[in-house]
Amino acid sequence: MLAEAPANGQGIPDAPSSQQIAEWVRAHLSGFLSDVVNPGAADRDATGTPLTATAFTPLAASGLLGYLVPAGHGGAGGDRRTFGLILEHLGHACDELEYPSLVSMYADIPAVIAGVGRPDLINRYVQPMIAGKRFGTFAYTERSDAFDFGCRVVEVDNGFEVTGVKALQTGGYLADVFLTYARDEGDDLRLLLVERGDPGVAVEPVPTAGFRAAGLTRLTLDRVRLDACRQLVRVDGLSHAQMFLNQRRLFIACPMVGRMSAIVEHCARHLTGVIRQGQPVTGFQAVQAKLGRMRIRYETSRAVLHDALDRLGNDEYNELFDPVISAAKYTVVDNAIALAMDAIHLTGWMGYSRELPYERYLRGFMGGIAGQTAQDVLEILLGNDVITRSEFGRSREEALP
Amino acid sequence: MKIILSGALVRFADYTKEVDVEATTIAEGIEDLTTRYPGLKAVLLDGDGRVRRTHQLFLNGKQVERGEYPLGTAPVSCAAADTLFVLTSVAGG
Repeated sequence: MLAEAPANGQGIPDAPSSQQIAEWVRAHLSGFLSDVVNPGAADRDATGTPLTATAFTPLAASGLLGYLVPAGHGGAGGDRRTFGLILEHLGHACDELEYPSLVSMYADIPAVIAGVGRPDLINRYVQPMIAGKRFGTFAYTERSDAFDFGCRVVEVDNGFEVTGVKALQTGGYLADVFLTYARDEGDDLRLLLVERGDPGVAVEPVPTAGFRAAGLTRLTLDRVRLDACRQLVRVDGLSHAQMFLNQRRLFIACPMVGRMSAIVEHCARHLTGVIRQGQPVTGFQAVQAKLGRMRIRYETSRAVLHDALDRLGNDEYNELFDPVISAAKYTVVDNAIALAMDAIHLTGWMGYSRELPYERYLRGFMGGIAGQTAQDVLEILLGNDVITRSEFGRSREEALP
Repeated sequence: MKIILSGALVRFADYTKEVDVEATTIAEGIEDLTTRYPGLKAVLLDGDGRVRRTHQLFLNGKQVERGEYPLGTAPVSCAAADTLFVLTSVAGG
């Protein structure tokens, strides 16, 4: 169980160092993770079984599920930099990336709902989510971009009717609330709260090759009737979604950096005991160089992640699309994949086994190619940003009298 | 004034990146733009007729503050030699 876990994130100092967060995670969560969560990781991956509420509900006592919710609404009022560091160290302590990723989703959703400030929503959703009794996820992705979304909402008597398919949700298996973006009759996006039990709602699992414990789902809505109170955002839901995605983009990278660190440590320890030509393979320069390259990939990723987290913490980021945050996510994912490949190359068949499950971690890291904005889309958006800003100077010259 | 579109917006202006409009304010320029390309209207403006926050506006490279946005509270003047950039970065989930 959780060891002396303080409520509401208490015990986490203001503006903590990474080391302080590492100690907090070790003191309050490591036992729970190693005793309750980690033992099932390999089997969940093998069978495609999602993590269940038993892995998350006890976290309520630690305050993590309400960490991002303002204090006035029952949360800890914590900042995203600190939460990102917590996710990084959870990634080090957890044997599967899915767990910290879901923790981030289940902590972010009540914060979004609380941001609206409506007492009815605080009581119905936010407080049960902080307590680990309800879970929510984000239903945005479709098989088209936002301007062509097929999920539609129309106003009906005292409420709405929603129809459409949302292609993929992380953590939908446990979710009973889906933050759903749908186009209205004027082609504006609205944000609505859809509950699993609403008539016309169907939630199906989406099988994948990796990230298999994340409970990925597809949400189908067949003329689902919602009361007026279920509307969270009336106009410009597109910008609401972009700000949410921009803020969350780093959260997929944080646990990866922690896991990269763990892989480097495990891999070096393992190789010390592998004998070739009568000596430990760590005596060979080729092995040393590859371990060095893995260390470089980890340190580079950690540096860009922390720089980007600092921007979040200092409120020095573009709230709609921040190039530094996006570049950090991109860099971490690429480095994580390359690092896991290096680990498999170094460890041979064992890195392909349950004993050293680097291949499983690799499949998890590869989820980052698509998750939290696909790597290729980030390249396009960052290039577009560079090109547009490069034209600013010319326009100033042309505008001079 | 010249308006330069980017990203996903270009598609809704018949793949035209640069559009010359007649305008003395940014708001007038946006109105002229959406009149020429009606498909842009629902993409560029929200249900209340304001430029969506996700489209960031820069007049000659200087960001137009939110309170100054077209159809908001303070129309921003512009001249024929000015360039209005609409920077659109729409990411996925």
